[in-house]
Amino acid sequence: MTQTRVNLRDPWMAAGLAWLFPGLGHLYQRRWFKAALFCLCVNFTYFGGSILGDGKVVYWNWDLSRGNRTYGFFAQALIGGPTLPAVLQARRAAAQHPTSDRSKVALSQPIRSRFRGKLQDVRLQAVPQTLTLLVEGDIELQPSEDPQLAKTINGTFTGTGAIVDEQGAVAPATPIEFRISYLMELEPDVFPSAHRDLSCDANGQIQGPQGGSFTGNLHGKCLNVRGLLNRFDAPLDPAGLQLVHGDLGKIYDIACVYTWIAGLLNLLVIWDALQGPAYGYGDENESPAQATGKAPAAGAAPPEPGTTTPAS
Amino acid sequence: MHINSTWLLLPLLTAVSLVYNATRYEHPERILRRSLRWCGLLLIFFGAAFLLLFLCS
Repeated sequence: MTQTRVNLRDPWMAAGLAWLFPGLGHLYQRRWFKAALFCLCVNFTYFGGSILGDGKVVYWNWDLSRGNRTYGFFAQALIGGPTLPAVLQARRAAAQHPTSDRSKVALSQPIRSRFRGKLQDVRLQAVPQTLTLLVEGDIELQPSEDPQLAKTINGTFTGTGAIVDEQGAVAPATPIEFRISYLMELEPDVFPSAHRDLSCDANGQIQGPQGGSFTGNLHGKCLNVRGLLNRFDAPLDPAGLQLVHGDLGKIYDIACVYTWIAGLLNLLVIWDALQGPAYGYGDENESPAQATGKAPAAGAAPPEPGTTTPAS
Repeated sequence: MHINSTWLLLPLLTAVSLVYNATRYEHPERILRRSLRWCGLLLIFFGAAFLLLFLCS
């Protein structure tokens, strides 16, 4: 730490504000250029990483029964404000679902939304082999009133289904309707995605020449059913983490690194708010002559009145 | 849209250079000048590392 001519005002207050939101501490100190620079760079790195990771990068988990411990959160938490909801969301998730096992998650609220997914192991009476259909339509699910039968639900699906053959060719879609009576797996309420994954038993009717009554397994997503409150900084369960690694690959790891680096950069920002610039004001002569203790270059501004001058 | 993940290094290097040098100095011109130099040096360093790994692979 060398001399500084910067008015740090109340340094601890500035450091606290810098932690709460990058750039806020320097704004308080009226160091406008740095406030703008830190706000732009640190937030760009942090939110850029979050967006790159599909909003599934920042979350808190310390309970090994619910997945891996998020050591990286200690770096992310240096950003302050934007990461604080993660702790609250982890508590909410643990309170709502004591286990991270999706087969034990029960439906607590009715769902009525668009649905997109796959109907697998479909057994039609007229067809000897099992079929797979891509389905899209409207789904409606009602939770069971009996808590002992939490996995038993009343649900309907109305939409279209297209048979996919073994080579992956998709046939024209035909109308399809079925009932859903048993929920096999359900994504938790608090989860970092707008869509909600589910797997369930299905039985109903397929229209068309190959149609008839059938039974099968439905797997897919209820689209846009989760609000911001239930998804911002929400924890990923092990199944969700595996899926996001599958979907994003190494981009997910890069996104994590972005948010970690953003947190570590904010540590430097906090230090700068507390102690001022590490090497000096910066308008001194860069030549080696200055290092030998000669007079400062012409044009170097004198110390401003009322400014702090911390010791080396 | 698919982008090569190597490009993601550039904005990160820029942000790191700017923030690091801004915590060293106060004068905007000095910060920007040193950040530019830092960015260039880091790019050369990473470029050399990539080239070395490419030649080894």
